[in-house]
Amino acid sequence: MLAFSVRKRLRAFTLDLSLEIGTETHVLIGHSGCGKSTTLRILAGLMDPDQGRVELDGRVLLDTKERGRTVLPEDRDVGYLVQSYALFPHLSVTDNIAYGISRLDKGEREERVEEALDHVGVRHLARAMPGSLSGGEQQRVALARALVRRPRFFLLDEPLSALDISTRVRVRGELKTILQGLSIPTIVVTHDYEDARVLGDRIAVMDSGKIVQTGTAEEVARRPASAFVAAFTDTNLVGIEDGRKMAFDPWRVSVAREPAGGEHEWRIEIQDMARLGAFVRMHLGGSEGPSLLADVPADKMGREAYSLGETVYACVAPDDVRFVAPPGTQDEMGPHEKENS
Amino acid sequence: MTTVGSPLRSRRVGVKQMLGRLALALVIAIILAFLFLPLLSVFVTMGPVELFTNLNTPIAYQALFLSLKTSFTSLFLIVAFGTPLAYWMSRTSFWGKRILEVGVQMPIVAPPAVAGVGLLLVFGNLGLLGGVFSAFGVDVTFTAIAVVMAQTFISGPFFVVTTRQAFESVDKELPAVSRTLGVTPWGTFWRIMVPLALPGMLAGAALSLARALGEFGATIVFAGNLPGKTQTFPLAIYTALQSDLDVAVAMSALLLLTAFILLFLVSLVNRRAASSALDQGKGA
Repeated sequence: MLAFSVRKRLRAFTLDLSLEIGTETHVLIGHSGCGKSTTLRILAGLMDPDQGRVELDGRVLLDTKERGRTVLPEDRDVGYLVQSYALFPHLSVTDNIAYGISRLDKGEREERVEEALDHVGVRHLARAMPGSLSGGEQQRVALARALVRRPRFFLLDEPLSALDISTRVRVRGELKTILQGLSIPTIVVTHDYEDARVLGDRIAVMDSGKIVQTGTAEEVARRPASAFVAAFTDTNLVGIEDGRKMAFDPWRVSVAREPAGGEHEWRIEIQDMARLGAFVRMHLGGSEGPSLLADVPADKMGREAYSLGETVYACVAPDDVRFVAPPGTQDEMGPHEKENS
Repeated sequence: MTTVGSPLRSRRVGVKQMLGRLALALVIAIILAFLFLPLLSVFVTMGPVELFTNLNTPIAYQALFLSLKTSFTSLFLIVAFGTPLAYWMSRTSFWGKRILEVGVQMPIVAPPAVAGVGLLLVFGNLGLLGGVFSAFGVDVTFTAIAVVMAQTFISGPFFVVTTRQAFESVDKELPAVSRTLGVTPWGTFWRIMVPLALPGMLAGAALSLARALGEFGATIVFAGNLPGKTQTFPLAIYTALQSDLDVAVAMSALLLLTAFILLFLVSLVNRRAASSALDQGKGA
């Protein structure tokens, strides 16, 4: 169990968050510069918070209230993977992996390196230099280098964003398998909801240094607590008269030139269109009223030939709408929720 | 009108272009000749045998030995004291760091004779710290110690500046990740920072060594020109010039050759570093 509560003044805002993480993968998702990476650096011991306490399985790693109670990064038993992977360019793959276990005796060291090479599937690259590896290979070596030390918690900072789109999906799957095989508290930082959905047992959405909503990927997407969260999960979130909001998915929105007269219908302008597989995703909006996403089947799109700037009617069936209570009232949202736009 | 005028004008431009190129070639030729002729002339005025006979004098040997001894001592001191300074400057930022950076580079641009005067003012018999030194029975002026001090002062910045840049160019994530892999700052310095900064450090060391071997102005002002005691190779050349031009030329040729070899090694190291940096970038 990793439990922490940290506070640090940054340039534009104050980082302030508390989390408790069991032996699961917890994703911190937010825009770049929201304090995610800073949080990881604090947990790894590379940076000190203004105030805070970090505890791992009952061992205090940091407590600013007790002076000098800081465990150095080298003594934290942390696995830390950075976006660039930071392989040591002057060392071979094998030497990179063995770097952090040089104090073990030779026999055990070699055994562990062999095991790690197989675990991430880079045995054939054992003698290669980092400069000759692809992004996906570098990530696997960096994983092996961190895991060969058998860390007690694992921090991954944007583990997929250095990869191009073609390798990203495959590497994401591999990473998920490896993370599922670990039974230590794991935090993954990302700005991509799809990464969060695939990798995370739980998700915490961060904005300007604070956690806006936590839950499983499903919960967060179904009932986004704010427009900020909704934008991450590509969910439509529209306010209605009584202060409640309703959430619905883009593929439940139907678009037509004539009004259908439904309960939830908007006259709205097509501001952008992008092809997404068998759908065209429309970005709808206007000077007033809500902004919506609508997925229009490609064949319908072919028949109707909507054009940019055209005004259409978008509607959603009452059955497809989920009502989200405003913050501060009853139900199922986490304690961290907060109104945000 | 334009159709009539254009072929004519384009030909005139061609002539102008040629004149321009010619002028450029001339300027380049003049500056190259000016730079190379004095250096080359040292070698062409004498054959190798003649060079060797002229060098084969006790004064030359003495000076050569003193120069090597003091220059390598200086280099040792520069590396020992300059590396921590360079590392610290690459890692920290504080108010006034720029001023410190410029200050550290001052000896590169300050006239060596001025540096000699400054050293005298501090370490000379009547200088700021001269009293302290003489109290311990040490008189640095007019000794090999003074030679080393002058060389260290003048040539140190070359090593410090290059080494600082070499440390700065190491990806900041690498030492951070090294710490999380259980390695102390001291271990990280030796296992990550030094190997990756090594090409830059070697280049800086070679530049410093070459500069120390050639040091003249600060040495003659601060340490004097006593044969066998403070007369380094460049000072011996200066002295020989007043009696025997051939000896001076032979000694110059040797010094120049050494400097050339050092500079060549630097460029080799730099090329290797550049190509390995390229390898590093390719994968990312």
